[in-house]
Parts: sequence; structure tokens; C-alpha cells
Amino acid sequence: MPQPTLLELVVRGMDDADPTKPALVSSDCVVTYGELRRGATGIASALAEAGVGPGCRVGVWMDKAPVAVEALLGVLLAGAAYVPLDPRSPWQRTRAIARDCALAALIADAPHLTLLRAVLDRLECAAPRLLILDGADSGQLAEAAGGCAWESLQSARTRSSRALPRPAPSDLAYILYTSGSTGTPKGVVHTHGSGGAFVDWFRTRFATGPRDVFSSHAPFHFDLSVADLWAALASGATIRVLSSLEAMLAPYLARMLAKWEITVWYSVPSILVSMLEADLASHPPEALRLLLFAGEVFPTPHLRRLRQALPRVELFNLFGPTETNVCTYYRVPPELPERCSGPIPIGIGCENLETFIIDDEGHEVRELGREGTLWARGGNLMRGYWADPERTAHMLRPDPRGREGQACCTGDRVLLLPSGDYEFLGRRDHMVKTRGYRVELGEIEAALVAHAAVLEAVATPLPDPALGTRIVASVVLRAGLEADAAALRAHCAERLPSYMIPELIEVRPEMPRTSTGKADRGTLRGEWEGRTA
Amino acid sequence: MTEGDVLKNVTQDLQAFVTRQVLREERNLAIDAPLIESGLVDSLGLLQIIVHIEKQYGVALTESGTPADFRSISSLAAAVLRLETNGPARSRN
Repeated sequence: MPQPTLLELVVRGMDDADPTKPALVSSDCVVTYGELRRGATGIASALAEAGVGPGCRVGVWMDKAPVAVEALLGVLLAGAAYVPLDPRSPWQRTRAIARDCALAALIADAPHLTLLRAVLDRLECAAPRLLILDGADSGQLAEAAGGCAWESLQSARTRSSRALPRPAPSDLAYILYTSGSTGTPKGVVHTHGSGGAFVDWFRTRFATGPRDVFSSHAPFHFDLSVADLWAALASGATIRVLSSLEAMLAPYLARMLAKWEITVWYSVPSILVSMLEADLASHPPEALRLLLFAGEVFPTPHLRRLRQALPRVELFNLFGPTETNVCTYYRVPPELPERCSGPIPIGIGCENLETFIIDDEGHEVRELGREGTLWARGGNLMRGYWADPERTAHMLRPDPRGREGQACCTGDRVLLLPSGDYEFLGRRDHMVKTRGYRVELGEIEAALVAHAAVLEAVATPLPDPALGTRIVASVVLRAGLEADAAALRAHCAERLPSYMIPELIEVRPEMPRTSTGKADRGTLRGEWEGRTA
Repeated sequence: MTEGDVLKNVTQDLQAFVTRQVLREERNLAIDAPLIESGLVDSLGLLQIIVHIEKQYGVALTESGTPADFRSISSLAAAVLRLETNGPARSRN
């Protein structure tokens, strides 16, 4: 049987679900499967009538809420591709993305209507043919040429979804913009084929089904949302949609996880660490069966605390750049012995992919313990970066083993362990040279987090004409515990060679975060450069 | 002071704090402007606000508050008043 497309999987899941069953739940509303389907079909019909179909890009510029999921699903049902626009980004960045992928339509909600003009004026490309506006007043509708009110679509749900086009596996499904290391956002293009392959793997591997309640913690422009939304709907499950505010309130989440009866949680590690600090252990989430994390390294001392706090929950580390959806995964064992303080492995390749290691000379590494770069090939891979063949060619290359076809060079340094798992050594671009030594920033961060008082640590390389790079570090301490820079440097000196000990260590109240909840390395670097210039 | 006066005072204090300490702006932020969804306040800023309210009013918003309380300056002020007067010492008989 051929691999079902993303849309086929989602539609099948919805067909099987009881129309009165809640599909989306938030603090403000409940949307049943029947309501979700009607709402999304209304959007899809309006898009189709405006000629927006397979291959077209549709921006969704909405706060994180159930109606935004309706919009995303509506775009998929129209056979088009959704482009989630970070609702919390400055409008200039929104415009840069709208321009980069030439949106055929834009769906926006009330809080963004005042900025609509700013984004659409001077777009320097054809304006979107259709604007669907949620919560707009008549003045705003009149002002937006091509504007159409969301509310009117909801009342005129006449057309059947059978009239809508069925996208082919090679058609675009979503474009996720990630911040490139060079500063300009780059659009990672996934198709109905690649999204479908990933969702099918996820659903099968974790045996998700109608009794599951998924959390939706990540913002929609972050790739974790692909599993949160589409694997959940393909399973006929219920999704607890967390607003961007709720997603930040660790003490609240620690309390509510049990109350909401979440069974599948997926997020970056940092919020889980904050939830542990907020006493997650004293509100045991009885229903939780599966806890997945990705996006950052989970410091092992904290992971051990999580393991102990939730002894019956299956913990998995999912790994892989947005370009691969996910390419490897690791099941955290029932116990993490105290003597293991290094990072946990990233595990084995996803069953629907081929993963392998290539050394710096371009040869495949089959021996244990020898370092190289992780490659992946198979259904999960992106089609490329939007309108950027050069970058695409750098990431998707001919299979270096001489086989026909393309593979993705992830840029992650790994080695193979006797257990058959990959160990993650760092990002190729997090490797820096200082005083002639090659240093992996993650190793410095792991050493700092091994200190009992340290909650989180980020090492920052600063260019230095004499040393090549100077390394400094920022740490956040656990509530009620203290440690100063001198103590932390002394602690590092017991674990790291002298050239790896951060020259300066700052203790701060909290890490700055990117919109996806990861530590914001760029901001930290900027602050350090400002201070040390 | 009437309850209305207290609310006004708290609102002004929070408005000044968020505008100057968190956003580092000169012009006052509207008291109904959404703080988080708009991207004005990030998780670092949210922590500053939580700590300020704890110090200034002895109200632990993360323990007894709801996400709706964090929406805007006016909802924060209303929550401070509610939780101050309904605190564990004086609450339900």
C-alpha cells in the first residue's frame, strides 16, 4: 500500500471520530470533531473559490487558539500549504516571510488586523488574493481589499468537501520558517508525502489512538506542532491547545497536567525543567503515558529528576532538524544511574528512514566509537528550502555512499555506541576553536549543569583575534540555591580542560528564549558582545 | 481609600513597572494592551512581573492566579486585588 499523504491520514482520523467528540480543547472553548470539520471546510471552500489550491501558500497569522487550528486544517483541506506566521514576531519579520514565499492568501485574527496594512503595503510581490479576517469590524473589512469575514464562512457552510482537490504526495503541505544562522529566516518545505511519512511513523511508533489527549505546547511555526496537531487528529485524539501565555507558566502547567488528563506531552526540555522546579512531582499526572521532548539537549541531572518524578511514564528523546521532521529517537531507560552525567544518546534511526554516519573524508563509518556527521534518507525529508536552491543543495545531496538518490546531511556530529544508539556530540556549527583546540559548547554546558545549583547553562563563543574564540557562559540557578562565578569556574576546573573553562560566567534570573522556547543564543551573544566590546 | 482607589493605585504602579522596568519605554503602555500574545513581554519579562507582584503585594500569582490574570496590566491589577482580599487568611469561612 502506498504511503498515505498527510491530508489522507488526517481525514481518515476525522472520519473515524465521533462528530460529538472534542477535537480541540482550550481554556476558552471546546471544538468537537463535527464543528472542526465544518469550520475547516468553510475555510477550504473559500480558498478553493478564490483559486487557492495545490502548490499555493497560505499564511496563518493568528494567536495560538483552537480557531487557528481550524484555519491550518482548512488550508490543508483546500490542498494548499500553510505557513504559520509567529503571532509574537515583529511585523517586519512577518512581511519578510510573506514576501519570501509570495502568499496566495492570508488568514489573520483580530489582534493582527491593525498591523495588516503594514505587512501588505510595500510587499514587493503580488498581494494575497484572499484575506480571511477573524473578528474584523465592517471598517476593517472594507479597508482590506479582497477581505472576507471568517464569521461569514462559518454561516455559509454549504459546499461539500468532495469538491476540494486532493493533493499529491509531492504537493506542498507546510512551510516552517526557522531562523537561519545567517539571520535571514529560511523556509523548510514539507510535502503531503514527507509530512504523511512522519505522522504515520509517529502514530505507529507511539501507538496513539482515540483515547489519547495530546498537549499542544509548541507554537505552530515550530516543527513539534506537526506531531501535536496532525498525529493527534490522525489518531482521532483530543488536543489540548495551550495559548502562548499558558505555555510559559510552568507552575500552572505543573498543576494542570493532571487535571487536563493529558496522555501525550511533547515539548522542549526547558519548560519541563521549569515544571519540575514548580513541583510537578507533587501533582502526579495519572493519565500521562508518554512524554516526548526535542529541540534541545536535556541536561541529564534534570532528566534523572524527571525520570524519578514520573516513574511510570515512557520518556522519549526525539531528535532531528526541522528538515527531517524527526530522524532518530531514544527511549529513556527506567533508571538513569547517578554515575551517568553525560548527555543521553539520541537513539536509533526512525524505522521509516535510513540513517548513517559519514566521516570527514566522505567515507561511511561502520565502526563503533568513530566520529562523523549524521545523514538520513527516506520519507520524512523536506523537499528543500523555499526559493533557495543553493542552501537546499548544501543540505540535500547525492547519497555519499554512491547509491542513487538524495540524502540529508544533518550537520550533527555523532558516533555509534555499542548499544546501537547514536551519541550526539554536537552541532557542526556549535563547534568552535579556541587556542587551537576544537571545543563543543554542549560539553561545557553539561559540565555547568552538573553543578547542583545550576538549572540551565548556555556557553557563548566570542570572536577574539588572539585566541580565535573566547568562551563565556550564562547560567540560571535553581530557586533558593546559590553559586557565584568563582565557584562555578572551580566546578568546571574539576571536569574540563583549562581551555574549555568559560572565562566569564554570568548568573542571570532567566534565559532569554526564542519564540520556540529554546535558549536564545543570539540574544545572549549580542549582550556579551555589548558588554565586552 | 475605597476599593476603586486601591485598584487605581495598583494599576498605575504596574503600568509604570511594566513600561519602564520591563519594556524600558518612555510612553505608558495602555492598560488593556495584551502583554504576552502581542510578543511585548517575553518569558523573562513575565518573570520580572511575577517577582514584582510577589514583592510588592505578597501575592503569589503563579500559585493562585489563572492565565487570564496575566493578559494585561488591568487584569493583573484586578488579580492582585482579588487575591489580596481573598487571601488564605481571610477567604471562605
